[in-house]
Amino acid sequence: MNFAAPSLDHDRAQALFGQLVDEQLAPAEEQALRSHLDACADCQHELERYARTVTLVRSLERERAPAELAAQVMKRVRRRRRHLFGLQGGRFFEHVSMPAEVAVPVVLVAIAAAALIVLLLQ
Amino acid sequence: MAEAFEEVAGAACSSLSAPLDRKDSDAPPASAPESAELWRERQLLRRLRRGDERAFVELVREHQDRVYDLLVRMLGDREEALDLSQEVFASIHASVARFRGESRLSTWIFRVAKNHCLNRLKYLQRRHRHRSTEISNVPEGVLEACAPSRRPDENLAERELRALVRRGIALLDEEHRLLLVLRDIEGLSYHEIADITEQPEGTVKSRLHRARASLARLVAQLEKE
Ligand SMILES: [Zn+2]
Repeated sequence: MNFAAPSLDHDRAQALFGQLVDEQLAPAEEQALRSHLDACADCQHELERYARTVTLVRSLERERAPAELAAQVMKRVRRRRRHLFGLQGGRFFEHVSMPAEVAVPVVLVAIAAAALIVLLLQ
Repeated sequence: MAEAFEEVAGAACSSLSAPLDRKDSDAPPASAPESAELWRERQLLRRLRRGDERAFVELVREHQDRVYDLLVRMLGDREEALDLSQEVFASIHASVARFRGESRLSTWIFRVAKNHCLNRLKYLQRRHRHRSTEISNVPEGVLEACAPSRRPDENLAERELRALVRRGIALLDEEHRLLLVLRDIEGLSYHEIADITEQPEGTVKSRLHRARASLARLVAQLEKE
């Protein structure tokens, strides 16, 4: 065990690279890391490679979604609604367009009422 | 509405001790631009809960690029990523009314995307269609299909290096790839990533570090080839 030793070994120094690159190190940790790096060419080389990789990842070009995505999503949503209610064309529900929060309880209450009627008739 | 907003924003600038007990219903919170952002998000959520379709289209437009980008990186296939993006937003449409707002809307959207993505990867692996299992055998040209067109300021060496980085990312295991993409491509905070991936922040930090270290090694290896 390393009691309050100010110096870091290679592994512990390298474990701090991530937070160094993200500028999240506490000043004392950063100080300890810097003094290890000053004396260690291996870790210096590792840090260079590490930091360069992160910089390259951050510089990659972003992908952009096709403009018609929202329309495609809505098509999928409507298709699913039709399947859900088993209605051909689903015109009624498209006009009413109840949110699921309303539609689900309504359907449940209808089922419960039907069950109750069947029970009462018996 | 805009006038009221400016008024409150102005008041916030003149007094930092603005009352905090104001009900959040219609007035925007009186502090940083981030709060204005939160206020806008709450307005959008209110419309979404009413089933306002236009609000949903706004939500898709606002988040589609980040979701799509994440899925392209994770799946390594644009067609697959487009299909899954539609799936993700359709499932958001079905569940947004139940979203309680314990986290930011964007964080929740990323979490939904992540869950769908991990399921899709499992499914694709079962069908042996997923590329990362055989990515080292994929000819460079195929992977380059995922590369956008050349940037004017980019010289050949940089371009090749970025191609190696993209290959390296595709070779990472999916958990590492996810953390790396969320942090270094999407630019999210450790806190948000912890929320999205449902693991403690400390774990995110150490795993992200390992992901970057593996990528650095992979890129160095690929460079030697
Ligand atoms: Zn060292």
